[in-house]
Amino acid sequence: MSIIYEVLEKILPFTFMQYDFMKNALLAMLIITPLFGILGTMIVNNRMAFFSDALGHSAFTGIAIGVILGLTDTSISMVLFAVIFALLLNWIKRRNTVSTDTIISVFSSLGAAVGLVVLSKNGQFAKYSNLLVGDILSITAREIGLLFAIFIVTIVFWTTCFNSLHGMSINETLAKSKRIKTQLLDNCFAIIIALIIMLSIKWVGILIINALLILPAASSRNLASNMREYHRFSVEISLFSGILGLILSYYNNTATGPTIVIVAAAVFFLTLVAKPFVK
Amino acid sequence: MKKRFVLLAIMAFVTLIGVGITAVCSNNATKQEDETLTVVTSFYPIYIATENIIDGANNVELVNLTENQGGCLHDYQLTTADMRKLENADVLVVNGGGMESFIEEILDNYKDIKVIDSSEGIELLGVQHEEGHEEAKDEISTDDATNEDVINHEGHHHEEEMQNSHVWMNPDKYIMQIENIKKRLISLDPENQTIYQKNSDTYTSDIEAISEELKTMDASKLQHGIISFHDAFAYLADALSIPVIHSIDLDKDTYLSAGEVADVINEVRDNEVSYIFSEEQLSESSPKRVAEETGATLCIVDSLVSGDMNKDAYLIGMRKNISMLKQVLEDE
Repeated sequence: MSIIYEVLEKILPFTFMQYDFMKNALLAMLIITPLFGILGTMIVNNRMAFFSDALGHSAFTGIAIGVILGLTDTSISMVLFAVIFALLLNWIKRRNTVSTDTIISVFSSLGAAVGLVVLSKNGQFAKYSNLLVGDILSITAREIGLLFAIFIVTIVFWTTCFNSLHGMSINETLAKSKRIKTQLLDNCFAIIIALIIMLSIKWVGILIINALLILPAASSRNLASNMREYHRFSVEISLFSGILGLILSYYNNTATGPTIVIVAAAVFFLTLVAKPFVK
Repeated sequence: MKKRFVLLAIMAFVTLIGVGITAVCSNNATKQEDETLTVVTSFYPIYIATENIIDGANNVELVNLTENQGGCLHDYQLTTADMRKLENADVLVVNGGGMESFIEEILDNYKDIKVIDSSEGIELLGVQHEEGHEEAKDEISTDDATNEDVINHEGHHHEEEMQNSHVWMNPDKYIMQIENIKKRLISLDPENQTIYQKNSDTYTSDIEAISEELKTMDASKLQHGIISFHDAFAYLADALSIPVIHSIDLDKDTYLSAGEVADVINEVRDNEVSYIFSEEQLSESSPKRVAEETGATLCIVDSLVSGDMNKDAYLIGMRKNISMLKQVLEDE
């Protein structure tokens, strides 16, 4: 870790790089934002924006379960619950009884409500309020390692399954006829989203995580005309917003997560303006 | 290629705006000075105490970490500015007893900072949860209400027990805190020993006067017991030897549920409590409702967790509390 720190100090001779917490935050940004950029493209394509939001809300219940079971590290119960939650949601969605957005909304509100009821018991909710906006500045080296692990997993998943996923997002019946195991794939994708959201929620925050997933991909869609561009622009915009937001929040003393979202939103609106001229 | 260019232009534009905003808003970053001993205090009461001790010392800079925070620190979140203060800190003075839980993880990253735990060796009052009822002493009558915190007057601690860390509200214990801070400061910065010693002596004698005043007060009217809406009051009650029948630790923005309000009201009636103590910064609605419903008197206490940066803020606040108490006791 100290080697990485030294390298960072050499490359970036700015005052904010003197601080370890800024180095950690920057490293975390370098991992989280490309991840969100990649994942966001498919979430936007599959119209799953609301799905990832519901997952974020389920974090409350996951933590509440951990608290009830008396776990010292509630992130374990949080991740496990999110995976179960995502699979359950997918299962009910597939039974096609109610429209998808309704069922997701039901799950989202229930996930938040159960968590809030348990966590706010004894008036202790304030302890968990940092889940809402996140706190990237308190990330430690070990947790960056965890993020890196999920980063690798995602890249592997992407390189092996991208074509099938893409096929599925265009037309599921067609994908099935091409012998793509859509159900399995859909579930794998849901699990990956759940893992990434749960591992980054403490740093990014429930209120902000979805914006970070959607905004870069949506901006990229405004410009890109093929899949390669779509991905590349999305990752670039995501990285750009993350790093610029972090630096701006340092100098202006603002909360980091929301600053990043504002930058990403600014990029989105500008691409929206630029869209007619490039396409 | 065109799109690439457009994207880059957009990024450059956003960066420019961001930098522009920063330039407009920035108020020249503070420069680091390595010569001085930078003492950072965790929050207001500790800041006031430390300020009194190091007043006039050479090459010592005092910074308060959580400047704009009103209320207790239980849910505090550090900002980038706070983190910068910590980066430059040599000494960190904390209240201890779990008050600064938000800082503990972060301190792992700053091994060089010397931490002064001001409540070291001071016996803290406990905040018990339901499980501990049997051990509570007979002067505390309880029922099976949920969310109930009972002050344990026996003072023996259980491992699972939460601690009440508002130590400074008892002047005698506050003196001990000052003593702790002074001792450690002297060992870390022997050059200023005489100044620290002199300062803390004068300050301690001021507080002793307040402590005396508290002790001479006739609190017999409160012997029925009181109900407190903030943990901080337990220490003041301890100094006055008033039993606290029911203590609810309300956060600044939490409210009691209907059932809890009913429990408190029952408690007031059963024990014929005629005084309810709440804290200045809390929302008054719940305490007020209980007071109106039961006809008890509502007293607002300043728990001294925020205020102006005046050196004598503690003394002034405590005197205000004393005169409030006197008024209550002399009434009727």
